[in-house]
Amino acid sequence: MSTLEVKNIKAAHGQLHAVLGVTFSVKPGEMLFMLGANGAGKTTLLRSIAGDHKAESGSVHLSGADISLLPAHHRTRSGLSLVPEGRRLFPQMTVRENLLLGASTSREGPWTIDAIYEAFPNLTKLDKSQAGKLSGGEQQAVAIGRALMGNPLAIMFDEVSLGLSPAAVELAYAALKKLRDMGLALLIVEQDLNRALSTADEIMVMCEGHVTLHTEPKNTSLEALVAASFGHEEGTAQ
Amino acid sequence: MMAQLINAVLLGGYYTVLAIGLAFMYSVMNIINLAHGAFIVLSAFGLLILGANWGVPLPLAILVMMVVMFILGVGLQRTVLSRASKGGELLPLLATFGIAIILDNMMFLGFGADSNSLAPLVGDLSWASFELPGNIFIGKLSVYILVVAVVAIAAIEFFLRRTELGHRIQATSQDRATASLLGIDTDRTLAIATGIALATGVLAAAALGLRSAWGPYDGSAQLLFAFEAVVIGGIGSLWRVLAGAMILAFAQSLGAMIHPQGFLICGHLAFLAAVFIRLRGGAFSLSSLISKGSKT
Amino acid sequence: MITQPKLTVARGGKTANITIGLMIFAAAILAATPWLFGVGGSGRAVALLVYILLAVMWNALAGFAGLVSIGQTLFFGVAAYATIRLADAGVNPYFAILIATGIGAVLGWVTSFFMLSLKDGEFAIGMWVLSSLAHLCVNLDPLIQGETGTSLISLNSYDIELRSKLTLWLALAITIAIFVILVLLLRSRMGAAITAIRDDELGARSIGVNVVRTKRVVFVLAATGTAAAGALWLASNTNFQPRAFFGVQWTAYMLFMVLVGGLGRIEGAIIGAVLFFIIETYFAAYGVWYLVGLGTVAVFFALMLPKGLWGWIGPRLPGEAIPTGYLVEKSKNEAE
Repeated sequence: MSTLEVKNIKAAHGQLHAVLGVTFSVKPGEMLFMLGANGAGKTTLLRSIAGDHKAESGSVHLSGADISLLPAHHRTRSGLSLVPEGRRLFPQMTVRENLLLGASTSREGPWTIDAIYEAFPNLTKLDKSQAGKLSGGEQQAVAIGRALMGNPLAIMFDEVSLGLSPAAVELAYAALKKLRDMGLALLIVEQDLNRALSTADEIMVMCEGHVTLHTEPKNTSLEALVAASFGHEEGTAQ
Repeated sequence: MMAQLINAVLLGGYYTVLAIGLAFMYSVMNIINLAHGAFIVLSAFGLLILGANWGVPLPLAILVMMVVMFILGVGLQRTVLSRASKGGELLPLLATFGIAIILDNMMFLGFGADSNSLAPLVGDLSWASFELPGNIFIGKLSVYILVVAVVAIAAIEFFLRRTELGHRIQATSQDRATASLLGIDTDRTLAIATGIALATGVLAAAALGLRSAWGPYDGSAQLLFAFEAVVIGGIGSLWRVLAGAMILAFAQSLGAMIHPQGFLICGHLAFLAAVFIRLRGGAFSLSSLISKGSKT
Repeated sequence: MITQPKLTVARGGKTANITIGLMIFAAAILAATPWLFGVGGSGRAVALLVYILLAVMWNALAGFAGLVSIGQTLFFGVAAYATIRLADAGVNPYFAILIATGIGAVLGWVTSFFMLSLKDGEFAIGMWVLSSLAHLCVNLDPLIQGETGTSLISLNSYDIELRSKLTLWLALAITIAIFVILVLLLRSRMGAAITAIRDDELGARSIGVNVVRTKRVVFVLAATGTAAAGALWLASNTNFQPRAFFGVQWTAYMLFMVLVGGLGRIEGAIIGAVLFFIIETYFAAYGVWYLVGLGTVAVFFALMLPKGLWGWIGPRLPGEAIPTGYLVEKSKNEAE
C-alpha cells in the first residue's frame, strides 16, 4: 500500500486555476521528485496536499486513511509533513526550540532531539543558537529535523536546494537518502534536473497545473525532462 | 518631592497591571482589543458579586474570576475574533468596539450607575500605608499592585519564552501557516492566548476596584491608560510596558503639579510625544531614543 | 490568431441615472422640509444630514483609506467649540460654521502628519487620545464652564423659523458640497489610487501608488466633513456640552451606520445613515437598551455580513448606483 496517495487534486487562487487534477502516489522508502518551471503549480499542489491551501476537489490518503477533509494540523498529526519553501524557521527561537515545536504532532516514533543531533552532528553545537542566525544549510538541517520531530510517515519538501551552497545540498540529500532507507515516503520539489535523474525513484514533471511526465529516471533523459517542463506531453507512464 | 516620585512609580505599577492583557493580545495576535477596559470592569463586577454578595475572600474570588474570564476569552476568540480576523485588520477593531459598547451598557442595565468599591472586602488595606524615613507615607495597596505587576510580567515572559505552550503561542503569532503545518492547533492556541489576556485583566480589575470608586462606563478610561502605556513603551517584551506605564505615570504626576486638570492632559501629551519620537526614529520609541542618545 | 475583442469603456448607466434622480428628489424634499414639516421637521432633517455626513466621511476613512478611527469626535467636537468661540468673538454664527469647518480641515491636515504613521489599532485609539485631549482642553476654557457647557447665543438674534430654515439649507449645501467633492475625488486619478489601496494596500504600494499622500487626502476630507457635521449639530441644537460632542457614542453611531450599510461603498454609508435615522427616531427612547441593540447589530454585521446591506444589494443591480469606477464591456460577437 502506498503511504501517500493523491487523487485528482484541483486547486485555484481565486480565478486562477493553479493545479488541474494531479494524481500520484508514493510508497514507503520511495523518493518521488516533482519538477517543473516556476508557476507550474508545484507549491500550490504541496500546500493543498498539506491542507494549508483549500483544494477544490480531489482526495488525499495517508496509509490508507482519507485525510482530505482534515485541517492542516490534523494532517500533520496523521503523519504527513511539509517542509515549506524557504524553511520558515522561527528566527528568534533557538534551534532546540524550533525542533521541539516539531514535536507538536504528539506522534510516537524514533525521533527525539538526541536522534536529530545524531543525524545532523553539526546542529549539536548550535543547540542554543538563534535559528535566524544560522547559515542556509544549517537552517535546512533544522527544518528537516523539525519535520522529523513529528515522526511523520511521509514528508514533502518544497525546493530543497534553493539558496543552499553545493556542499549544503550534498549534506541535505545525504540525510534524505537515509530517511528513504528508513522507509519514509518522500516527495521532493526540485529545480535541479540532474539531481532528480541521479537520485529519484520516480520523477513527475508539471507544467501549467498538469502532470506532463511521470516516469522512472532510467526511462527518461535530461532533454525529455526539459521538454516536459515546457508542456510537451509524451510517454506518460503511470 | 520624594513622595511624589514614589507615588508616580506606584501609579505606573497600576497602569502596568492595566496594560498587560492588552499588550499580550496585541503582541501575540496583532489585535488591539477595544473591549479590554470593558472586560476589566466586568471582572471587577464579578469580584464584587463574589466578595460582597457571596462572601468569597478576595484572593479566592480573583482566582475564580480568572477561570471565568479565561473561559470567556476562549469563547471570544472562538466566536468573534477568529471570524473577524479572517476579514482583515479592521474587523477585529470594529467587532471589539461593538462588544465594548454592548458590555458597557449591559453593565449599566445590570448594576446601575452607582459607584462601587472593592475596598470593604479587604479591611484597612486600601488606606493602610508604610512609613518611610523622612516622614513619607506610601499606600500599602499601591505597593502590592506594583509587586503584582512585576510578578505578572515575569510570569508571562517566563511562560512565553520557556514553556512548550508559550513557544506554540509565539510560533502561531509569528507564522500561523507554518505553525499549523507543524501540527499546532492554531485556533486552540489563540483561544488560550485570548483566555490568558482576559484572565490577567482580573488582576487589573482587582487593582481598579480597590484603588478607587468605579462604575459601568469606566472601561474606556482604563483602556486609554493601558493603550498609552503600551504605545509609549513599544511592542516587544512586556517589560517595555512597565517602562511605558512608568513614563505615563510620571507625565501625569507632573501635569497634576502644574494644573488641577493637567493630570490627564500631560498623560495624553506624553503619548503624543512618544508617537513623535517613534515617527522620527522609525523604530519604537524607547530603544530609538536610547540608541540615538548614545550615538551622539 | 487572436483578435482583439472590442471594448467599450463607460461610466454610469441606468442605475446611476436613477440614483442621481432619487438623490435630487431627496435633496428637494429636504430643502422643502420647513414648509412641509415645520420647524421640528427641519431639525430632524438636519439630524439626518449630519448622520449622512458622518457616515459618508467615516466610510471614506475606514472603507477607502483603511483607517478605523474611534476618535473622529476630535473634529466633531473641536468644530462645535470653534463655532462657539468665533460666535462669541462676534462672528456671524453661520459664517462661524464655515470657518469652523475650515479649522477642522486644518486640524486634520496637521494631525495627519503624525497620526498616519500609526498603523491599524494604534491609529484607532491614537485618534481617541487626541479627541480626549481636545475634550480636556476645551473644558479648560472658562467660556465653556467645564461640562456645564454653553449655548450658541448669537443664534437667538434670528427668528426661530428663519433660523431653522437657514440651518437646514446650510446643512444641505455643505452635505452636497462634501458629497460632490468625494465623488469627484473618487473619479479622479487619485480615486483609482484610493480604490487600489482599499483592495490591496501592499499591492498598491508596489505599483507606485503614494499611499501616505492618498491616505492624507482622504483623512483631511474626512476631518472636514466631520467638522462640518459637528458645527451643524451645534447650530441645530444650540447647546454645547463638551461631553455631548466628544462622547464615544458618536463613534458607535458612525460604526453602526457604516457596518450596517456596507463598508467601502458610499451607497452603503448613505443607506446606513438613513436606517440609523429611522431606528433612532423610533427606538432612541429605549435609552441604554437602544445602545445595546446598536452594538449588537454592528457586531453581527461585522461578523456575518462584513460587506453590509449594500454588499448584498449592490451586486444585484445593473451597474453602479454612484458611478466611481468604469464599466468595461466586451462586445459579444467579437469576443473569443
